[in-house]
Amino acid sequence: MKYFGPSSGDMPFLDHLEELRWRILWSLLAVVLCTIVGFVLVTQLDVLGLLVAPIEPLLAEERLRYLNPTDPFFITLKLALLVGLLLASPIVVYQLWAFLAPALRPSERRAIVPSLYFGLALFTLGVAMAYYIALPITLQFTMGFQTESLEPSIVISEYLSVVIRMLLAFGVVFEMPILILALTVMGLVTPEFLSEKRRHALAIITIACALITPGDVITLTILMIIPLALLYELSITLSKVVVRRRRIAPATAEG
Amino acid sequence: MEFGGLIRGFRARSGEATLLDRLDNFRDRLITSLVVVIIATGVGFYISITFDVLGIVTAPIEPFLNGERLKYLSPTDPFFITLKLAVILGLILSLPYLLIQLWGLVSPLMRPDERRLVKPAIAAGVLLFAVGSVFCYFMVLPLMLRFTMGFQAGSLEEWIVIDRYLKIVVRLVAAFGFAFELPIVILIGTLLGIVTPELLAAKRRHAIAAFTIASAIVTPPDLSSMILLLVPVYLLYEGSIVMSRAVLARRPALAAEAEG
Repeated sequence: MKYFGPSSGDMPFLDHLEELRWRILWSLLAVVLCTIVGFVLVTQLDVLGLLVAPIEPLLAEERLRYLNPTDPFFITLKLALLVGLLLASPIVVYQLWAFLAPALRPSERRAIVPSLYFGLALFTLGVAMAYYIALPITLQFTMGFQTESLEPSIVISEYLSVVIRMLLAFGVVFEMPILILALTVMGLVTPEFLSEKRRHALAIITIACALITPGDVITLTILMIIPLALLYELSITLSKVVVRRRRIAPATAEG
Repeated sequence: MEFGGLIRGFRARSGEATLLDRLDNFRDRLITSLVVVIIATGVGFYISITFDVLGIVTAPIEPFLNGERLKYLSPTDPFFITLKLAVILGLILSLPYLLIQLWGLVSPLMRPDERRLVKPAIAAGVLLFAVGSVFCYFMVLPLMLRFTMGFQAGSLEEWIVIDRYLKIVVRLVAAFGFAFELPIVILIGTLLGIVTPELLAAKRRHAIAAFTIASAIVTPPDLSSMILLLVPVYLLYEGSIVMSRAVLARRPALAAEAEG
């Protein structure tokens, strides 16, 4: 278990490289093992069924199609990799953390751990919102066109790319407060600046949402703007807290 | 100051407008054209959801589908296909405006004799494009589909996907529309003295070879649509030789210039 746990920062340069090598190897090993576990999970449990569920009510008892005879196997493999990455992510993040932590100041170290948890929670929130609300609305909207001349024959690969893109987009966009928080901690923005530029921020959010949401669904764009505007307000409050604590901290440190 | 001198140096030959004025004019026309296209696309979107525009597009293949509808593979396809139709409709609707803008931009740069040619040429060009695409829609498409879908009927079943079908239709209709513009090109060439009927008649065999290659590239890889494109284009070629002879006969000056 060389270099698996935390290391001390006092090392010559070559030792850092050696450490990095081991950390990358541990991370890769974790991903490979977790992908194998993922393969078992995907074949035993109905993971694909979970992803397909949002479109099922629109398909009139039919199943999704595949066009290529090798598709079912490769889609299982892709899902296994996805599940594997998900399962391995705590180990990979820990390895990254253990490598970087000695280089950070204690105050930075104290800020990063909670923000990781917070970021994970926000990502999950975004994905859940996409899965339960945005995805059904989008599908209903886009599949509502041209119903008299067209018939759905949805292919799994096309469907999966739409779903995964949308889940990831929502997850990533919901990370906005983390970004703003990090910028506040680094002193690049202040809460006063953020609340002053609120109108600009709203305009940017609106444009970004219009670009990100697939299908240019107006209802969906609005649906995405509302939580983002709320998250923006939340991040203003958070950065206020950060700034206040920063003002208190030096005083107590000095006193 | 240097920049100003540079601009003045570019003063147009007509003496009326400087380069900057031209650029300004160009920018204004570009912006208004874009706005008109966007508005027309909005109108096109409304038309394509209220009227069955896609039904017109799919009509040629309907008899071959045994009462089934065309399929789509991605859940977002119906929306994006509607959008594509809206853009095509928008471009068609805004075409007159775009042509007027282009005319306003180009006409100051033309000689009067060139200018006189443009209006009838545009009118005839639009008409010929329409004739070509109508010919394609009513004659070529049904024939081509009957031909290509007649193979392997024993072991294969049709499961036609809308975006592939749409790609074939748009490509074929556009190819016929543009191919039918040939007489305009030849006539303008004759009037400007670039080609003569004698040259066209002498190079007939080269022209046929070129048409064959071009139509093989443009049409889907089936013989029927290629021949259906080749024959009318060749007839149009012969027709335009006759027409350009007639034009030259009516204009002795041009004819003399062409011979001299």
